[in-house]
Amino acid sequence: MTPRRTLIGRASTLATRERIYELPDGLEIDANEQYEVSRKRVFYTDVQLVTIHREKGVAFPLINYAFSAIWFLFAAIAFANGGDVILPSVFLAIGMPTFILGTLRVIYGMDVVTVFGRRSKATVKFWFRKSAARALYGRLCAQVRQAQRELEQQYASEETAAATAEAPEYELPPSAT
Amino acid sequence: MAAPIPIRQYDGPECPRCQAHLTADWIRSGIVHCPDCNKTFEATAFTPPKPKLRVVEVIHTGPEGASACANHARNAAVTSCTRCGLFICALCDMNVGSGSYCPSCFDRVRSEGTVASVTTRYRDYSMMARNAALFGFILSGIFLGLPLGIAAIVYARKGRAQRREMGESTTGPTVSMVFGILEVIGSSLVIAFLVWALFQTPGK
Repeated sequence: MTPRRTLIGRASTLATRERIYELPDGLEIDANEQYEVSRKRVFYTDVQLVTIHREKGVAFPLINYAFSAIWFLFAAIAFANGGDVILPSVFLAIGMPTFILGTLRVIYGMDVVTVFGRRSKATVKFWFRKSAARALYGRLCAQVRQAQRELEQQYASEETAAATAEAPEYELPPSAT
Repeated sequence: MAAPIPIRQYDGPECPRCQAHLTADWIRSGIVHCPDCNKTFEATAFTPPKPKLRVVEVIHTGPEGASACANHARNAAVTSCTRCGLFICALCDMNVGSGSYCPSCFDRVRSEGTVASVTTRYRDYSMMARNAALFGFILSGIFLGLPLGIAAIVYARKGRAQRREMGESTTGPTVSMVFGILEVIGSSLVIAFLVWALFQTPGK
């Protein structure tokens, strides 16, 4: 059985959907490819770099604005032709959520925490919870530091034990005593 | 024939903005300016300790001696494979947390998916159940509620078992199962009603 894991965030693009879980010894990434899920892990002892940055992106606001622009155009045409308020209002209501989403992204941006390991990386995106992103960044750095320090100590102790075991035992000849 | 789309392989830390590969000089703590896109990001760099593999040869194991590795006759065995019991040296030891495996058994358990900690691909039955239930509900008007409802129930059962094994909440597949049962009951009643209506002689 896999160890207990906690969902810490998601990272979705137009093509991929990833869920990122926290394990006691690392992060686990479940990436959906239709109905198949491929799983990879980034162990704290393997981490080389942890980054945080804020991005606004181009594609997301553009797609949202384009979608809302179509509905706003419909609303304008309906208003110009009929003069009725109900139909244009319906079109406006359909286009408004994507307009708000795009505007929120342009204003606030999205915080992205990325953990780079030796063999894989994990990305967690935060839309609104900026403090949560900063907290996760701090927590991950602390956990990585602790895990790597523990591993270093373990290696050092193993090396010491090996060196002690390898030390040749000389038996002094009877004449020397 | 169209050329296959190249899949970008991950080869170490990269700029989180433009995905340009960062050389060792750029892997550092603080505010980093990407040399490629010239944008900034905050970073904390680490130097992961490299594992020091100690392979002991049989002739150096002392007067007690040691068993030789099944794959490397000169190396002393450090453990035995959990699955086949073969003696294996530090080079062959594939320790996955739940036990040590020899390379061939590791390949086998990985492809079979019998050891959860080495599973890298699995089918998401919860999502399949959810989609079957959703499309069954939408398409119930053209009598697809019955087959899709049954599919939702079957997948939800598997999804519940899968989630339980992973130690996660089973609420999602349970809701899909309830919807699936309702779709099956509803669709069966509609079909039964239509059959009954067809056999009614008009004018009786």
